[in-house]
Order: sequence, then C-alpha cells, then structure tokens
Amino acid sequence: MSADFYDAPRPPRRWRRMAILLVLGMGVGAPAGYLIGRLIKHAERVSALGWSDSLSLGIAALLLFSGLSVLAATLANFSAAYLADPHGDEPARRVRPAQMTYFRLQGAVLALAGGMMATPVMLRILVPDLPLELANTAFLGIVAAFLLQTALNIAVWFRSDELVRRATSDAGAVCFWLLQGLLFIWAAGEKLALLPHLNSWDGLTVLMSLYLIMSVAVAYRRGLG
Amino acid sequence: MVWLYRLMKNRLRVLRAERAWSQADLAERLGVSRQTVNALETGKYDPSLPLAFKIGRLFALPIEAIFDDEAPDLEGQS
Repeated sequence: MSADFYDAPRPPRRWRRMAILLVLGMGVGAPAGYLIGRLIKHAERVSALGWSDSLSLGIAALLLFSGLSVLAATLANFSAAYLADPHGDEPARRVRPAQMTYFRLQGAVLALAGGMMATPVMLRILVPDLPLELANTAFLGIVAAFLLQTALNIAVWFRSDELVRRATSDAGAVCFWLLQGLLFIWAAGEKLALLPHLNSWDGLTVLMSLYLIMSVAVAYRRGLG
Repeated sequence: MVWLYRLMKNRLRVLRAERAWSQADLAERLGVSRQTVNALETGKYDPSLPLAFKIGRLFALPIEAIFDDEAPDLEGQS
C-alpha cells in the first residue's frame, strides 16, 4: 500500500455516516420490501390469521422498528445524545463510547426480539406446508438468536445504572404477579369447560403484550419516560 | 404521587443548587444517569444503600441529613 493511500484525505464524517445509513437502509429495506410484497401477495392468509398471530406480528414489527431506530440513532452524536437524555435541559454532551455500546446492545436486543417473534408466524404465512427441514432450520436459528439475545441482555443489565435495573425488576415482578393470577383464572375456567383453549403462542403473546405495557408504565412512573 | 410503598424525601435539589451543579454534573459525579438524579429529586425513586452512602460522601454529610424517611405528605397513610 503506497504512502499516498494513507495520506489521502478521509471522507467527511457526514458522508461516511450517510454511506453507512444507505448500506443499512438497503440491508433492511430490501428484505422488508420483499416480505411486505409477499404478505400483500398472500393477503388472504394474512387476513385469516388468529388474534395471537396478528398481535404478535404487530409486537414484532414494533420491536424491530424500535431496535433498528436505536441502532440508527447511534450513528450520530446528536441523536445518541437524545437517546441518553431525551428531556435534558443542557446542550447535548458528547456521548461516551461506553454509552454508545450500551445503546447498540439495547438496539440489538430489541431487533433480535422482533425478528424471533416474527419468524414463526411469517414462515407459516409464506410457506403454509412447511417442510420439516425448513422448520428445523428455522427453529435452530431461533434458538441461536435467543441464546445471543440472552447474552446481550445480560450485558445490558451489567451496564445499566440502578434506576434502570430497578425499573426492569419492577416490571418483571408486576408482570409475574398479574400473569400468574390471569393464568390460574383462565386455566380453571378452561378445566371447567367454560373458557376456550389457549395454546402456548397465545400465552406468549399475552405475556409479551403485558410486559411491554408494564415496562413503559413502570419506566414512566420511575421518571425514565 | 401514590405508590404501594412510601418513598423518602430528600434535600438533593437544595444541596445541588448550593453548589451550582446541574443534574448532569451531579449524575456524572455519582456515576449514574441524569434521569436517576431527576427521579431521586422528584421522589420517584429511593437510592440503593451504596448510592445513598456515595451521595453522603459527595456532600460530606451523614445520610440522615440528606434523606428523611418521615415524609410529611404521606404521614398517616401507612
């Protein structure tokens, strides 16, 4: 490599950022466009989805959008500063590298959660007669993504300050308290043949919905909103 | 604000103002986020014991001179 290569002026940060955004946009936009196109093509299958499939797809889209937005926000200091302190009354400070890492971990956790939640339902829509090999591959992929997300979640926990940890614990405790009660009531009604049967995907969707609502409510009341 | 448990009152805002520190300044000195300092000052969150000791050391005051566990507006509710 010649000395000229190293001496050549680097592109301005703004152009580099735009190039990264363009690559990211294409990387996300192309598959998203393809999936939306396939969903429109199979609109009758989408409209025939059960309540838990529809709701879980909505939650997955929300998680994916939030995660990718957080990741995109870490490309610029001003948007990362907004993530760090949305209601700060001081001019945005330079976000430290450790904070950037923290936000990127959070973004990755959210995006992975959305991807994992969408995959089973999307596969069922796109491939109604799912071959066993494809089902196996998808399941292995989801398990691998889950293990990675667990590791990232632990990293987020250790990097969080005590208020975030407290809000996370509070939301978990409230959810457990509410859901164990709801589960008991529903199971009793089902056993007595008074309430319809719920499958594990229905249960998961209810759990995720309630956890999202409680996380937002607890964070808001603790002053994180 | 009504909680399922009592939250303490504290003099953090006054102590911070006496030193002309912003919430972000105090947060940096304590190693927490500005939102945590705001939540402490507005009574939405009680600090852990290690953080309370850190606050005490920073202001060179005993914990009981900063935090008051007998919040007057909540007296009689427990």
